[in-house]
Amino acid sequence: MSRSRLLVISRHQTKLLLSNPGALVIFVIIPLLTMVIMKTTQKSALLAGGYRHVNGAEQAVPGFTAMFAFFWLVFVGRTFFAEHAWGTWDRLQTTASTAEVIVGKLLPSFVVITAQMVLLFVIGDLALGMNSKGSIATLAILAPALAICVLALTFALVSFCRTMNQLDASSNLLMLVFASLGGALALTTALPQWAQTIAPAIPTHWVMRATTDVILKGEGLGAVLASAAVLVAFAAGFTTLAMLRFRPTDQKQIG
Amino acid sequence: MSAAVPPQASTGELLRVIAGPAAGADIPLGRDVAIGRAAEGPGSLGGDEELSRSHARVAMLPGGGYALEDLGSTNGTYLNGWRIPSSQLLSTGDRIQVGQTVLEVVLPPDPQRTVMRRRPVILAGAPDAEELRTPRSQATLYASGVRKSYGDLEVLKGVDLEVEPGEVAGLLGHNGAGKTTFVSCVAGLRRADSGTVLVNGVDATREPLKARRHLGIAPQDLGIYPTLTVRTNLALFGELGGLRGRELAKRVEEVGEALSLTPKFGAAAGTLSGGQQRRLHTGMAIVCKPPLLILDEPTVGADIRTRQEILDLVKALAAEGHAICYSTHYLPEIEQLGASVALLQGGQIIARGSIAELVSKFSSQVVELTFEGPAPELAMRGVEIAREDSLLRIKSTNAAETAAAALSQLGGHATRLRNIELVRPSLDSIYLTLTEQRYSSEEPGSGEEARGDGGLSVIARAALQNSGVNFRRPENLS
Repeated sequence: MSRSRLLVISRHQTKLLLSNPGALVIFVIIPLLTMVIMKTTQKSALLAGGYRHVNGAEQAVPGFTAMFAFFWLVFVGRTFFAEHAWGTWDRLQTTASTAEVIVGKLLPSFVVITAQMVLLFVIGDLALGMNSKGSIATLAILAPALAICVLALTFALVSFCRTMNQLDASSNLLMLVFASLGGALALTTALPQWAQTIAPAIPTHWVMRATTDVILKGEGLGAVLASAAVLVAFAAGFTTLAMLRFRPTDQKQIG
Repeated sequence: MSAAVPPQASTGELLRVIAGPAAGADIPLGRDVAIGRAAEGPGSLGGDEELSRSHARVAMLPGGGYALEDLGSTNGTYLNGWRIPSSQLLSTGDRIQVGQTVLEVVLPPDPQRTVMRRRPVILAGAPDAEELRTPRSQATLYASGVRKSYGDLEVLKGVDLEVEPGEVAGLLGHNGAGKTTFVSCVAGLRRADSGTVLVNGVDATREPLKARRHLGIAPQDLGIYPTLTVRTNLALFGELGGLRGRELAKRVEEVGEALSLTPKFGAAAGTLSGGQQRRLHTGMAIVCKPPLLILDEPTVGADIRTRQEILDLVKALAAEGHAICYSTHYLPEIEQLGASVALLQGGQIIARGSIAELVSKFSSQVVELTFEGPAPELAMRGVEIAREDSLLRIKSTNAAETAAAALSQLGGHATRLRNIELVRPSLDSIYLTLTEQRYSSEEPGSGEEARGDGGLSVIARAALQNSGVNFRRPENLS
């Protein structure tokens, strides 16, 4: 893999992302608004769950941050479909290797998703005042791990979906399932037993588990590292799936 | 050969001379061996006058195995028929040609050795690998026996095509003939099932990425980034091709100038007109000045100005020495470009050569005489005559001579002669003859008709200017 070509494609992808700045702004504003709206509800849920000295932000901030991270499935996945719609996918293939094109396209999104999560945590904490028992800074490790996981899943969805409609539907479905069963909308302990059983098979669960451990239980770096490792393992699994199915010559359809 | 030595019993690794003045001799390996007319050691082949003094070297690799490299010889070193652009790993059975001498590589298997073996250059389905092929030229594109199937459908059935530096090769064929599949295989977008594709000497099947650095392609479908500016679109492909800084900026300016896009440099590509987008699309392929340029129907949907600018650009690039593979349905463009023709049908090249060669080889000329009243019967030898009411159609190899002979035989019917036309062959008539199609009023889709230039070939147009006789489009030439 040529580093220079990788950087050229990444820079190019950044320009494409910036050519649609509205989405970037929305992906910060909407989660923040949701956190504000849901804070009180989350407080009740936390109190019911046996946690004291909470205001709801302790669940709302990490929950909606984790939930909206998976909004990127659609956004990033669409950039691959856009290449097909513009007729540029084949052109890129003639100038760079498939790996360079894919990694080059995902790299800027990795930075953006990581930054989004950090930003949401920081603003959420400052604006809503989380009462954290542990060090919130240790949670920063989760951001790149979750970003890798989201992008690997994006790659897998792009590999399996032939049309943009399929991508949209599957992305939205996964985002909602991950959020609800992963404990982003409500504490995992408040979910039905069957949901609690399958929750560990969902990446969001591990984000919420780490944030709960640090914020509500006061645990340290070890808990975060364990969850981050699981997220990276999810990413490896999604990437393997994607590579088994991905064909650079597959034509994608818009609609 | 001055020093043919028996093979070393210890390894059995050797080069066997199978052709040339030293045929039958063996050159032992087991160390570096220099090959040349005045080389030192067992590789000295003094009897071969076409060898350079120090021609090539077979170098022993640290981990075992051997690599062949040319030492700047005058006429090149060939491995399995292909001139080697760089050092190449050798496998047993490989054939090396240096001058008049052909050497076969003999490397007995060694279980102790873990050497990465190079795949054979000539793949299954290619011409018989046992017969060493001598490339006719230093073609920028050398395709041989390229086959490609999609499921049960065999789209390419062994395509051979060479395009020399400075040559525009017009790739013609009906929809579905395999043009796009072929250029996709050359560009590495599709992997050929078998066959060999060399781009500027680099084997595109073995080293597709390296080969791609020697080519630029403008695919059939438009491929631009509509949300980015014209300059950014051009610069992206310049950068991907390795251009940087001032060189990149200069090249982008040059391409913009050549395609009249400079005033639009700051505009988003999506806001351009269709013709401007088509020019930008082509410009993105040439910004790096690749040795091989593949243009797949570059003027589809283009207006007259755009078409002319693209054609002018192609001619200029060819004049600079670029090899251009130009796929099109518009036959006059081939004539305008002075391109050679490769006619693809049914997954094979069925005709290849210059327009003049094809005209001479595949087409005949027609004289048509129109009379007042029924056409008379004429007895002429060596021609094919058809009468149809008042029309007499005579097919021959020389329309002018046939016309003169016909006129001399008319006798009293000459007073009823109302018109005489010479229908000379054009590229489109050859195309249709070879592909077994005919013009008809129900099929107005030929490029020339669409373009309204009357469908006359360069030859016919020139003849028209010089002769004063009427020329018109051929109708039934076969």
